[in-house]
Amino acid sequence: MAAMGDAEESRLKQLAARFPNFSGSHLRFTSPDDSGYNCLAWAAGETRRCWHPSAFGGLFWPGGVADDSVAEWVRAFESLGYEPCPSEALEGGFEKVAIYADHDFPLHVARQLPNGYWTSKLGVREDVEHELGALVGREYGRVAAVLRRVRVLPPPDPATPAP
Amino acid sequence: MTGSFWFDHLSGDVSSTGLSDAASIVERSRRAAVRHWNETITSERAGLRGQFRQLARWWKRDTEYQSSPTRIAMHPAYQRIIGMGRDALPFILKDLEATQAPWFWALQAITGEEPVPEEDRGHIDRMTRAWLRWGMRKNLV
Repeated sequence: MAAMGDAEESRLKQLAARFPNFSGSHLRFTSPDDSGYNCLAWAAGETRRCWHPSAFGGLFWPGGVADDSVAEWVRAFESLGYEPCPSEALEGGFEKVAIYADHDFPLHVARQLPNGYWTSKLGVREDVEHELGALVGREYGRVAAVLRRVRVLPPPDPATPAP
Repeated sequence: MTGSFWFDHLSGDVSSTGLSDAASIVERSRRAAVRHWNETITSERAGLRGQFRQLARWWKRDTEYQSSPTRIAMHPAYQRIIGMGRDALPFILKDLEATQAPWFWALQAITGEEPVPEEDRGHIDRMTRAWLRWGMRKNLV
């Protein structure tokens, strides 16, 4: 593995301050900063626009403006072929998404990779590969729902070993 | 803020040649009042700009990792900027042009308008251009 640059080390410190559970867990930066898409779009496999159901903000939402609730985020992913499932564990042939929330208020969504790790777009910053529990905390709340569908995306870089 | 608000047309030197002593005194008083008005407005605008910059820095620092647009817009600094009302629009539009930060919620809240076509929803670059065109039409940028 290449030596970590000063910039990446600085970013890791910033992340550790916001997400204390990152400390000691797997973390890999996989993109530069980009405000052109958000976590919802990234989890749905898109990088051209931002998604959100609110009437304010002017963002895209499948089915049009709706409540900003966990149930609505679940409904949106169901419209993409996902169905609720009880476990976050890696299952062969399935792709999963996990919705983080503070009670019923959805705050983030991550998508599982074929290697078992999860990929997330962090606000307007970068994409990261991480463990599901690493983002639990003050910023994103806890995992409130997990959904799965038959994997349709091509497998990403398999170089990273399974957790 | 438009140019007419600054009373530019009243602030230049006006010759008092031909005026009576009383009229000259009135004219000097008028010019002093205009100078005072413009200085006050300039100072107020500089204050608003500084306040906006301070609030925007606070908001961006706190929300750079936030994924929820609702939570981003509910940040107290963002809400205070919305509370500045139409005076904040030139600053918001300038920052939007420079950074494409998510100012759309604030712009809608302040103006009650939505110039972004339905098919462009979520495309940040297109939304930015739509709001900047709106700002140009309103002489805000």
